[in-house]
Amino acid sequence: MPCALARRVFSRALSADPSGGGRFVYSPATFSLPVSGATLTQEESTPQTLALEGVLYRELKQMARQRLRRSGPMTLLDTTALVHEGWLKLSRQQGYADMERSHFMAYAASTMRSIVVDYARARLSQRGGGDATHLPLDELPTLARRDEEYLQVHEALQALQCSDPRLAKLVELRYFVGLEEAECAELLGQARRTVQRDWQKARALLWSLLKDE
Amino acid sequence: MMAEHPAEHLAHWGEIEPLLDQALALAPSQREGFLDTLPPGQQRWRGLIAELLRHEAQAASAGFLSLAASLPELAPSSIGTPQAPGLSWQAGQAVGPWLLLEELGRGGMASVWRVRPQEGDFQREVALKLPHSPSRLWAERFKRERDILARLNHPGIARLFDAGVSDSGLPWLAMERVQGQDIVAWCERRRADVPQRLGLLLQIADALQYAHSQLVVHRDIKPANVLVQDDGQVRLLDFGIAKLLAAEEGGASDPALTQLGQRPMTPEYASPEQVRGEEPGIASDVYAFAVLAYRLLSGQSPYAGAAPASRHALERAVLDLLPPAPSSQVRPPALRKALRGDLDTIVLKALAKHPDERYATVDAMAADLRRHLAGEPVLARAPSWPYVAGRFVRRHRLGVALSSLAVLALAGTTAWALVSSQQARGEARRAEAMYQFTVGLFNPDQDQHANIKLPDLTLKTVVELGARRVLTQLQDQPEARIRLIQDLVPLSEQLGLIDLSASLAQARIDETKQLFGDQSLAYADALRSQLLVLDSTAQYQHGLEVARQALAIYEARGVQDPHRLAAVHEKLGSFGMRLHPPGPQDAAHLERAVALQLAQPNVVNTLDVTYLQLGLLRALLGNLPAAYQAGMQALELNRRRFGPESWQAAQAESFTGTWADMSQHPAEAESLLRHSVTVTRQVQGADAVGLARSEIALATLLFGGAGRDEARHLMADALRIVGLPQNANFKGLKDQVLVGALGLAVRSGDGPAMQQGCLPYADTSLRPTTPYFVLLLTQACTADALHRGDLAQAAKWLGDAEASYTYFAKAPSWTMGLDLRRGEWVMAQGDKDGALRLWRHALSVSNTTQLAWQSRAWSLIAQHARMDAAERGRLQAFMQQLEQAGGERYYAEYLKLLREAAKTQMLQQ
Repeated sequence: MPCALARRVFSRALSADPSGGGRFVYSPATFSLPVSGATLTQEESTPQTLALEGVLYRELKQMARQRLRRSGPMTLLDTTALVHEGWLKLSRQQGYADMERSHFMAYAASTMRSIVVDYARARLSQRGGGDATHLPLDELPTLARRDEEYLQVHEALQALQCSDPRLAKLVELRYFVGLEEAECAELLGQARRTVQRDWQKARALLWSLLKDE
Repeated sequence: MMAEHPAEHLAHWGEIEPLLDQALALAPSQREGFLDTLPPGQQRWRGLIAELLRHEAQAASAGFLSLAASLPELAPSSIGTPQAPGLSWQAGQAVGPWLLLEELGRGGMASVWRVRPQEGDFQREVALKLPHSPSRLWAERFKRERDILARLNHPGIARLFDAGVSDSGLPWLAMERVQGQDIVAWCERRRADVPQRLGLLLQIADALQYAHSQLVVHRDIKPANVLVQDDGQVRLLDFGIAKLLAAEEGGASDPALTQLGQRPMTPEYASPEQVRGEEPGIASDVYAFAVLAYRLLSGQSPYAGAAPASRHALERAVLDLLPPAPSSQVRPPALRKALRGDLDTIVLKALAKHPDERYATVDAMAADLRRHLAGEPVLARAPSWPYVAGRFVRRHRLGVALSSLAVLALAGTTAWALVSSQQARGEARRAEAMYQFTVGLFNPDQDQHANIKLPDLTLKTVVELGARRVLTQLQDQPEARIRLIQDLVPLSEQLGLIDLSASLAQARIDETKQLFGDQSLAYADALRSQLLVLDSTAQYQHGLEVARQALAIYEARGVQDPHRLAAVHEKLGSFGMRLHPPGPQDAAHLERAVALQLAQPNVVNTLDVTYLQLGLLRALLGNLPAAYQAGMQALELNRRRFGPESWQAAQAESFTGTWADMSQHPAEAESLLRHSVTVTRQVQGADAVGLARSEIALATLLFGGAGRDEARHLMADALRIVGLPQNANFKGLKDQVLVGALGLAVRSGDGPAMQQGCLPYADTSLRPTTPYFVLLLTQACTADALHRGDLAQAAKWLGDAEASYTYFAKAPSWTMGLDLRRGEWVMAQGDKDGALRLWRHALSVSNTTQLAWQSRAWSLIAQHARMDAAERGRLQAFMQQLEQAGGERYYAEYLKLLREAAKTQMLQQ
């Protein structure tokens, strides 16, 4: 099963880290595991849900691309806004009409995660070399050039997913979709305090997975 | 070993998780205890849980995952989706006159190709920029902009050779192909040191300045647009292209998606005004250049510290957050030292939120950078001490706090100058700075939860405490101390802390004299700041000497700065005219001050005050219409600058209204004065000293006509205000109100009030110092003495009047009231002829002012003499004049006297 594989592979890669700085070294060949469509109820993905996810993936990606292109050399696109807009657009469509927002958000969260990861991978391979001629680059150290970060979090999440999919979903919602605590509490049907503690746990685990002591 | 831990956490997560949950629910201090009391079966997890708790704390303080993910801009083709149809370029394709050779790169907005002309040769390497999503409006735009951009010919700017639209309607831009690295990468790779980076920045500045001189604004300065060639030559790209390429969202857009409109391209480099959607200008380029400089020097974005999690948050940071000094963002001590001071100041100045506070041109900033490199002092002034990075710029309203300010009395004094000048110079920011400074004094560790609840104290108290403290501290940092004092003098003055500001001003003079010498610019500036204090404490003689001294130093040093010179000339004029009879040399000083300030219309100054001083001078010389003109200029200026409902406009109205009254335009005077009263009361409060001035002026106007009752109320309120303990310092205004009230008492023949009013002034030391008030007082108290039949007292007062005659020698229209009383005195001695001569003389030198005394003179003449036809004619003419100018509504009191006089004369015929 993907989970065990993820865990083993993750540990192996960590121990094989040549830089020794605790940073997870990304190597494209090894980690092209599909993003699993973990739903809120922890069911295995059914063909139907996979199909819906596929639609969502295409739609959100298309929207992202259009927005980026239209707005010109804009450095950042807000994933939160994108997802909200996606909901607006898709909730009127077949297959999504009956879906509750919380379900939609669960799908959207994993979809957003894969889109972000796709972009990050593509950028990393693009940044390989050559002089910068007329390509616009990202500027902010804290707001861009986070491709490595996205991939690391993604890989670590895969390991976390296997042990605690609920926490992983929370991370998707907060980190990849950018939702606030209160919103997450609402979507997950939990008290805010609970969400707070869950976030702390998730963070602690991911930190453990990613940082060297 | 390390690698096992994470797997361990996960492997036993089912058991660990609930315990961790409990631990997290406790306060940090209780967690250790909790772990201690775990049952033995669970003690084995203790180590792991403790580790996780540690990790949690580390993650929290590192801000791990606190920043949500976002989608960076990316070339569309890389994610494997096809481009829009019709826009897939291929080598060998023809676009306009160009042949596509090789794709050089692709960005979000355009692809760039290496090309050659289809026919003929071209010496330079050409890169063709092909926008992805052209809008229909491009053709027009291109034509307009292309010519301007193509003209930019400078070694630091990549040329735009041409631009056009192909047959199929696709636009292209032919640019010079530049081979180089973006400036950040270039500096990193070569490990450039600070002087080298500054050198690059100066190259950029040069190119920018050139473009600005050609009226082209870049609009999109960022590292990607600043390439450095191998030879170290900087090339700026995409000048103004941002404007060209900003496609207008017409019908082509998808209504479901949010319009981005004119939002700035790169939020990090966008100036606050751009973020707000305003049109960028030179100031925006200055700002973006400063962000680049910040980046280059400190390695970071100015707003990195805020870790904004979204574009929106970044934009808010640009608008509100004060970036920390570049030197505070670097680690290595040598680098920190290199950046601290001048470079910090220069960069932060150019990053000011308000465009007016930045360097006006790129050149000015470059000049300061060059000065820094040459080891010379830079012109930029450091922000006031309490520039606290990361704090939000507070929009602080000081109107009410500054309400207890002195006001310029007609011939009195005050901190008007101060108020107007400092307010106009952005005192809100300063006062905020001062507030922060004093907060800092009490809270040196910037502890958020300090015990002192400063918001509970008034700004005034806080500044007072801070100012007192700075006088006794910071002895070892004279430069810092001076800077602080410099800011505190006007601020404490504004808040009515007169003694304090006097001490501070003196301290500043002493310090600068000691540090820089008594011929130095700093010393001259310190003297100049003392003038404000001397003005409000009515020390005119001292002030005149100080002003002369300061001017001498400025002239000796060849200072041209209009701001400094104007301030000194203004004081020379205004002090002068209070010390000696106003004359042409005083007028010359004031006119010069006006001219100097007019020459720099965009610089904030005290021109309104200068106009009012000028008005005052003209009024004292008896030319009321000219005074009114000057007043109107001040008023119009203030209306434009601060708005018609501002207290500054209200103050100007107060004077202009008085002069309108004195020019026999009572209706206009009433309008101005009423508005002044209303606004002043609203903005500065019911106890404001400024209100008293406006009230007494309005009372004086209304008293003569239908509004006498209202006039009495106004007068009573004005008296109340000047009697308040907090207004005790404003002597000039107190004089004005008391003397004004006395005058009204005389006009209504109120014996007891007159006597009571004049009694205290028997002590000559209590008398006003301002000649105009002395004049009014003398007239009133002579009338009082005459009224009581105390001729000896009257003679004493008249004896003191010689000084007034001297002062007003050029404007006898003012002293006609004295002539009137002298006539009465002489009459009481039995010399009727002498009296009549004096009264007739009084009338002969009268103008539009002092209508009450003129009417009285007429009345007396009519009682004691037989007027010939000519004189009767003059009486009639005067009556008509008043009827036309104001009628019963304003001049009932005078018309009554005049009509009686006319009747008496008629009966005598």
